Amino acid sequence: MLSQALLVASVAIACYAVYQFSNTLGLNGNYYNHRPGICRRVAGVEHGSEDIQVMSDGKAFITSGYGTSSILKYLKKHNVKGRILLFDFKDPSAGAVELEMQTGQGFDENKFLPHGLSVLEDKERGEHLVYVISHPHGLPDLVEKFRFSPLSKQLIHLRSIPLGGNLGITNDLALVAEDQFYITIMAVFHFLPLLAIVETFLPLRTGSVFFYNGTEMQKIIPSLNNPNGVFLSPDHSLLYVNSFLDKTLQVYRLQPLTNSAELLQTVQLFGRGDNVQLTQAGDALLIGSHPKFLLFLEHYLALTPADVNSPSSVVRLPLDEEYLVREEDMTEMFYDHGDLISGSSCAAIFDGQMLIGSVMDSLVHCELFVQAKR
Amino acid sequence: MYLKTALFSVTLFALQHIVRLIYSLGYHLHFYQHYPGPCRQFPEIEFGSGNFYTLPDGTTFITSGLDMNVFSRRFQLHYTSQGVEGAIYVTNLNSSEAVLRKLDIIVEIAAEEGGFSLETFHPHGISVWFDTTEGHHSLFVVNHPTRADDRIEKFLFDPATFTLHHVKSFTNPKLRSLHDVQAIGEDSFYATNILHEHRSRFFMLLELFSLMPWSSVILYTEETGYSEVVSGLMSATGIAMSKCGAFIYVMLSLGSQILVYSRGEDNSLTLQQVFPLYTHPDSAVLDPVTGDLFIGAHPIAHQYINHVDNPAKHKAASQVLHLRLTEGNITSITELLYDDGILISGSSAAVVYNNTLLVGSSVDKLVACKVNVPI
Repeated sequence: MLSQALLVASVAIACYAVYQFSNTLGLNGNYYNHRPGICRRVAGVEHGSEDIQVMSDGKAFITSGYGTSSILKYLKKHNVKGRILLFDFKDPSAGAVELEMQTGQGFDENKFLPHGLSVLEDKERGEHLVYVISHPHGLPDLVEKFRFSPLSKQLIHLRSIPLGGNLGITNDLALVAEDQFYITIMAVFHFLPLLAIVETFLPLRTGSVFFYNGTEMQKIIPSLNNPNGVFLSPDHSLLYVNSFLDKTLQVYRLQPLTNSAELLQTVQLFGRGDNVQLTQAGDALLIGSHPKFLLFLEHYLALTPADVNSPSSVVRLPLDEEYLVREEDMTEMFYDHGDLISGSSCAAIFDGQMLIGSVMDSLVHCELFVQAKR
Repeated sequence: MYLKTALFSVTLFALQHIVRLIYSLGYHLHFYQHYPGPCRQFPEIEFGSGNFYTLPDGTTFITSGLDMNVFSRRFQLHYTSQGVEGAIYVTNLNSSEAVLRKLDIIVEIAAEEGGFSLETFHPHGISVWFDTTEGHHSLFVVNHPTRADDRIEKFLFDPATFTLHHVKSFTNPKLRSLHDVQAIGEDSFYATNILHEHRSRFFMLLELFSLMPWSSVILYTEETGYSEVVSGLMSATGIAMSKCGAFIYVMLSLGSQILVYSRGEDNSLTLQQVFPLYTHPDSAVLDPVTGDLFIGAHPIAHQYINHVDNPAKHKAASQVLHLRLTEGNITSITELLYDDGILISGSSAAVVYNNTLLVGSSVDKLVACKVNVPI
């Protein structure tokens, strides 16, 4: 009698676990294409445009050529090069231009595989400081610091910031001031190539957010499930972190005196959110997300990712006066089955146009005909 | 021994059926809102704008005040307490500020026992036939008269006085729980039976939840009378015809599909394409200019079921889909609008004309949106 009851109970628990797992994979839910206006691919971008940040003059910096040790075969087959591109919203027909990197000592362009980026804007002289996370193969992750020279349109490499050898795989960073930033540690199982993917499934809470104060790394937010993109509110009081596994955007209030953060809001995203950006008007967050994670994994691990479609979605989260998300007014600005762009990771808006970036696919430019409802 | 096996099998069967039902009710589903442009609600309509038909010049007929004999008692009470009336409105989408006009209905023949009466008029699906010889428009409307069998009413439209003259009622035992009608001639049409049961609410619910495919499409012509041209469908709702008259589109709501039939010389229907739609379509309206189809759909079934039972309390998510056709087949699909039910609940019909999207609902409002996205 007892054994029968136990059997029923274990079957019930197993069924529930399978259901939850299928939810994290995004297997249910079928969505339709829709666009906010005329959208086109930007020519010459084939190996990703993972993170984008746009300056107040309409120039956007984009990282391209994402790669980690899990996908070495793909990197080799397609000769993927890590690059930083410049797109000018005021001159969209010029497309995305590869910025030449003027290297100093110690910076090896061939080992540069960029991921998240954050830019400290210099409004007076345009000499923006561009910080990019790089995953050089066989070496620990680094943050590369560049200065943008507006006259020569070059990125001058200033220094490589080491993060400490055994932290894990980093994802994105958010600058507070020069050489001071918050950075997400997405996965700690980095000693074997594909093992990090386990952390995108199992809620092991091994991820965290660190703060680099110029000299050392301090753990600010521990025990996160696969944190991905990170972004600061305009007044630097709130930190937005995407939990890739939980499919949520967490909003924290930063407590700099105690080196900690207080969780204020958890926004349910229903898709796996990647990077976070602020709209030009500063009234909403834009998140590039992966609605169907299983398809994204197939796309990510394919030898030729361009052949495997993964749905893309851009979600707009309006903010209230205190920079918290107004969940009832969330809208989706763009959805594509993967034909135009696969694996969207970020989006940026400037002057009625939108750029949508992807992890390893194309870069899309949309003319926004639709205004936000509220 | 055998009893145990039989019992176990029956329980397993019942269990899988329940799981299927719960899954189809869509409790696990979530979608994001998005609109093609700024939207406004029409203040004149509070209780439904369930079905449309649009003429090539932009004139659109809208049915309002839906009630079915198989709806719940709570709904019927709400209906009568709100003083809702069955009516047909007309608007012209050509003008930038579309204005609604309620059509006066004139009954030619005095209402005999069981004949057409405005008090019991509850319109649903609608289709218009333009007679080129006579030069007039005939409106075919599905009617669910109170405590009587469903039937099709035929009206003649007088554009000068904005009146409808009731001409004829089509009744027959083959017309069961009607949903929509598609005119194919001055006195001929296809009609969809969403369910077989049309009198008892209890048996209607049983048929619905047993997922029995007893829905059908009926053909009526003067020469051949009433005949069942397609049977074995899973809750067929909307029906539409292509511009050229060669293809018939049948929406399956619970079956979550669109069936494309090619129409024979004798009006027989041959299945040409089965298009899976992961949502529950209500009706399809033909774009008179491009020949595309616009569909009002109910993406989350449990919300719609609750909404039709208690419209004041429950909102239902609304969804508009745009289908492009090539040689009759559906070749592309885009979502034009998704709303959580705040702007409009239970969208059942939609059409785009002159960059205006008109969205109607079964028992809620009527909404017009500017279409800023490329169509």
